[in-house]
Amino acid sequence: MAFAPSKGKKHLDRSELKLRITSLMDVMTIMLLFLLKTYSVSGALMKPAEGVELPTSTVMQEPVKVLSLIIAPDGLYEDVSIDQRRLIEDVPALNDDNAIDLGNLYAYLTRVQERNRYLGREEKRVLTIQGDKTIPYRWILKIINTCSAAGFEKIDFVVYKESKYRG
Amino acid sequence: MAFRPSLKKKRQFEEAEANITPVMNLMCVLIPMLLSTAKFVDLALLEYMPPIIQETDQTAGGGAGESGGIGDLLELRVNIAYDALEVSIFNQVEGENYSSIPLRPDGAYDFEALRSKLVDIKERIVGPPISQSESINPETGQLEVVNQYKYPDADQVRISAEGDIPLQVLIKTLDVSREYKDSRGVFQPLFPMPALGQFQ
Repeated sequence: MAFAPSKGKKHLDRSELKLRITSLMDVMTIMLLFLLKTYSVSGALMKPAEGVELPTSTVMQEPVKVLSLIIAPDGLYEDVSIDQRRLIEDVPALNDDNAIDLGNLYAYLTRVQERNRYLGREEKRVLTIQGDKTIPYRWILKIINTCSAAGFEKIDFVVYKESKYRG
Repeated sequence: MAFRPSLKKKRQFEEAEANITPVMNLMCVLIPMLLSTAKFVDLALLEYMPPIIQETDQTAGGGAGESGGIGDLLELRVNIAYDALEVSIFNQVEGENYSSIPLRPDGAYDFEALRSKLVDIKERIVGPPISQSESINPETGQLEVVNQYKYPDADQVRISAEGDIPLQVLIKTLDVSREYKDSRGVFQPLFPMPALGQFQ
């Protein structure tokens, strides 16, 4: 005996199925607008160092690429490249209350300046510091003291931008 | 006599659909390109210019008191202690020359109160500029108008903190002391030349 035809198949519309991409277009348009808002022509000149959570500030000045130091909770580093850094001062040296300056940092900064002079590069007495927001003031003061003694006239702290118009 | 039905009436209108495939193609190219150039983290630089160290100066900053006799200077200091923000005017012998801003009930520093205090000092004690001069900014090379105040160090504040105060608190203090929003909603410089020093 033949089975009775399924009731579902009876009403099956065999017309051509079309993919509805209107909702996909909506998503794409919203994404496009969002990405256009965050579009940067200059690109990122600086990348936050790994393991360092930067403080926030209301300053508006754009970062520039100059000599850069990283103050992580486990020491002071030279920012060699995006994924590479070299230890300059360890935690005991930074915590040492008997010393005002940092010997290794002073030697490093002097070496950098001498190398720039030797290569005939323009002498920029500016450096940037990427400091973790939890590092203590005594470290900052010591590092600034040493940089100042080595002849650096401007020290820029790298921060996350926060709107000053809020509130 | 009845008119013959129009031939146009027999024409069947098909539902017109826009072909959005080329637009989709464009989107598929644009979105990866914009994703690669998007800046999700906005970084900025907070400038600090350490004052020139002099041999007689015991502190790291030491910029506030060199330009004249002590009698001419304001000598404004902000100390970040563990339990309060202390504002003192060393040259002010009369009236209120010291105030301590305690922590808020939630344990955070009261930066709004600090801002109010500094604005009050700027408006009441420093007062409006007595003259203006023009000078060329060595960095930008542009002519700038510089305000001259009653005190030569009216732009300066010496900030110091106890040893374990974190960087975020220092940055916030520098932000607060740099500028303020006046009654018209315009940002005005407050004490834009900080000098960091030892806690006293």
